[in-house]
Amino acid sequence: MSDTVPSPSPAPAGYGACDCGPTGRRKGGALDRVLRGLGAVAEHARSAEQMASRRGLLQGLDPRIKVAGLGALVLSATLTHRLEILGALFVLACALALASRIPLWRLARQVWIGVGLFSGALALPALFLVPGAPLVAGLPVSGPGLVSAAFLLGRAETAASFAVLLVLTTPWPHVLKALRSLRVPVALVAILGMTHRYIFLLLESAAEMVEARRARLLGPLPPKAERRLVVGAVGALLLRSLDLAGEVHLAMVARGYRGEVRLIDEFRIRPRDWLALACALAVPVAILWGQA
Amino acid sequence: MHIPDGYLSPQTCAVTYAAALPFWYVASRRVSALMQTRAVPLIAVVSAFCFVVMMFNLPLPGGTSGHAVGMTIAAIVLGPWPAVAAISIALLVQAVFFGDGGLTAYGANCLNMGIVGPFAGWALYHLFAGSSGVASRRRVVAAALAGYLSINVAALCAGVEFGVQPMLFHAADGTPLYAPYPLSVAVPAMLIGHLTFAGLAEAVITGGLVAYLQRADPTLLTSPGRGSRTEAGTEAGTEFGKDTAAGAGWRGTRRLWAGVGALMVLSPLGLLAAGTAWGEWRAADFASRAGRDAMAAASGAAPPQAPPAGLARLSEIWTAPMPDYAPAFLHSEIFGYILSAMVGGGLIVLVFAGLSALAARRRIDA
Amino acid sequence: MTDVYDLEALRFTYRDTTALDGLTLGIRAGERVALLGPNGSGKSTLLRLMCALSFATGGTARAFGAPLTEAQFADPARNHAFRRRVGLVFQSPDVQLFNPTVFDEIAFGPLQMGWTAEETRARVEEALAAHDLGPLRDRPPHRLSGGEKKRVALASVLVTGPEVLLLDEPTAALDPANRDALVHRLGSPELAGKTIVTATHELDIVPAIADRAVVMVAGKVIADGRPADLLADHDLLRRAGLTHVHRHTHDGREHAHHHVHALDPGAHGHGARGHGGHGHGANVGHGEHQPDRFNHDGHGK
Repeated sequence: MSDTVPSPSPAPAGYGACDCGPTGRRKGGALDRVLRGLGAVAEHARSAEQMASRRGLLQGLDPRIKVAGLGALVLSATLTHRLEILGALFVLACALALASRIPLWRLARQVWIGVGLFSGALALPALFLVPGAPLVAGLPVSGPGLVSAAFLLGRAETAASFAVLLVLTTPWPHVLKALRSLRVPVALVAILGMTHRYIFLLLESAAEMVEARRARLLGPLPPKAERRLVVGAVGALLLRSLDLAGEVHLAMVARGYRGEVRLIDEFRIRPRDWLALACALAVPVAILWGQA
Repeated sequence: MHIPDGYLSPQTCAVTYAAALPFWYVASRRVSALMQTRAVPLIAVVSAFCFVVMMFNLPLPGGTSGHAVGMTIAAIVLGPWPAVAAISIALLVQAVFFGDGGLTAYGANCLNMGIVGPFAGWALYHLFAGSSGVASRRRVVAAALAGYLSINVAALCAGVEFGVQPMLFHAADGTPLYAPYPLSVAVPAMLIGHLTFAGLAEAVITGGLVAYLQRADPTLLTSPGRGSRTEAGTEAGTEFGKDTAAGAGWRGTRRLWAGVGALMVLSPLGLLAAGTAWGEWRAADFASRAGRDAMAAASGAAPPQAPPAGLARLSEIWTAPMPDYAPAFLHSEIFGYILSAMVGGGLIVLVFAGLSALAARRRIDA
Repeated sequence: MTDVYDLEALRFTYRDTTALDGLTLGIRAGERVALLGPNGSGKSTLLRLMCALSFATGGTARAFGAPLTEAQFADPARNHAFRRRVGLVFQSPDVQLFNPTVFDEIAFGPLQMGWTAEETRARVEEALAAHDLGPLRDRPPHRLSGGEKKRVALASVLVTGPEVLLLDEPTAALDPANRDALVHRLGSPELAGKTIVTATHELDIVPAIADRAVVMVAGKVIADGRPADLLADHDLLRRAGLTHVHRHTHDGREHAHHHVHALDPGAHGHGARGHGGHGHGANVGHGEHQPDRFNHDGHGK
């Protein structure tokens, strides 16, 4: 179905970064940019589903353990006050990826480059801005500046790597069930499932609407008209979304829904799951203990 | 504005989670009470919409483009509480599935974009729109302005969250362990990007969508939270419209805001253990080339052509009230933190509490 | 007595639109009824009223002898009992399929009915097998083809064993192979004895899925009878907007004709394909089918 979403952009979706800022005007105009953005999301989802179906270390673990364990490792990356530990955590993320048959170029493409560009650019001025003794005489780079830049970049990269490992090794429905058994309220889990499901539908609708508008264009538009076109597409999408919400509600009611979500749990925890969880939880505990 | 993992200390993350929690609780209660069985599908689909909207790059004046967050339009169409729920869910899916924004920073991102933003946008929209007719041009302008200001308020919150990091969380030698820039850099850096591109994108999308809805389905602007155009007659959801239109959203939250303020004041108490001298930051650094790079990086914006003239003065707003001859404790990091948080957060609270009171009075007059 | 539905002078207005305008219709247990009519004739609205998703603004509606009113359905027990007996398959599978996986989708109804986890699991596995959905068990809905989505939607409604099955344009947007498979499924022993009401504007599936046809125009019933009789009445079909109108220049006469072929060629040989030399064949109802998947006739337009 999502094949109607256009082929992905060559650039990876900015994982771990937010391109809130302006993007330069590239060729192809605003509609093409929108289509590229939509395509990148669809591509990310598609590849995540494909990775999750491989047989590897993380894919074989219980999803609840994975959510809790990788969450603990993300926390560890933000907790530690020592660069060596941060480096070790980064190596651990790489090792986990390889053991789960996720090639490192995949992590690089999806996480490291995007996060590196964003956080790197943000960390760079710290080299000069953070006061301290200069690292090398004559150079305006301070020692503390270098360390703080390394912390910022290292934490962002490491935490994002652990986070993406969860998605790349766990189908979304399993993430949801894991959240459920971790006592996340059932209504929230149901909403998360539905949100994810309808993101794909709305991506598809959005791509269709933008395509339809683009198909009617004969040449490049002045920015004002382009803007109106994009806003019109978003408006149409908003109305569709609200229609859809009403229809889905009726479809739920027709099947007996009365406001109480019920889900079915079907996971078994095996010894290796407990072992993995114990290992993952030991990391932040050890870090906290070391810092106390 | 999606804060990644590692920029904020775990303590800050814990505080922001704690601050967001009561809002989530109230939002879930109110949404399910007001929308009954419709809550789950409506919030889910609107969350998906918010997510997809962030993929839309808008062409902006000046040959650039930016994407909107859509928090104000969500609050206008749904009312503030459902908007809190929908945007928080959208941010969660973004963080977990697509990696936009960190997991530990999720509380902070929700606080900025999912709570402060929609409430600010909603209050400002109703303040500016006043009693103007649904189809009036004033509504469009009000929406655009509300969108513009609310994303900047959210950016200010993010800037404050960044800015307090080096004061509180640094190694024994003063090396910052998390976001390394002080308030005097972080706040202007966040604001410059959002006063220009991101703010403009939000203004265009919010105003544009209100204009679109005026033509396509004006009822969505009169009864927020109806949220369904096809459920003929059965559950028109008008009760929700009344509720939000009467300003109950803000009345209900004023106490919560006070709670947030209290949390801001109390949070550093847990951090009393930490404590070494804090390296002085100078406004002079800020006007340097590197400073501009920092701003550019933080906002993703192109560096301004000339050193920004007002920045030195802006940074003084934070540092000037504490003259060098002040008693030593006033220079302590804890005091600096409390001051910053109070000034940053407290100002917002006061402004919006005031605005909402004003807006409520106007509606009663009308 | 054995009346499943007893609808009298039913009216339904929404905003400024009148979707049903004094419709009267009775449906008995075990009947297989085709609701025929163009887009906007009120078919979908009628199905929603029959499924108690919305309620008439005028006239009286009864199902299983009890009134279909909002007040009645405020009673959870009544609501619950009704939902067990009546199932509706929506036109758009994207509306119908809102769960993360096929398994969850089929399990939704049983769980809402209050069945235990074991019971639910057993019934879902049964349904997966019966509808050839086993390999799709853990697939998310956005990774299903159009035909697969329709199968899942049907299975998710049938799993709770409703006595009455309401289908809204079940063959819309399906290719011929999937359409034939669906029509076959509707005639399978699993559905024997059920009351089935199908809203459609695809005339060629009608003889295979219905023993009775009801033609609706502008919210009213304009004809009711055996499918073979109604489908042979060209004048009626033209009035109902259910046929293509071809102007034949060679003799200046106007021909109305519809495509009846493939599924029941014997009964309606005159509805020959290729008549007039046009090239439409396979995609019956094209030109009426709207690509907009959220459009439902009769609502808010």
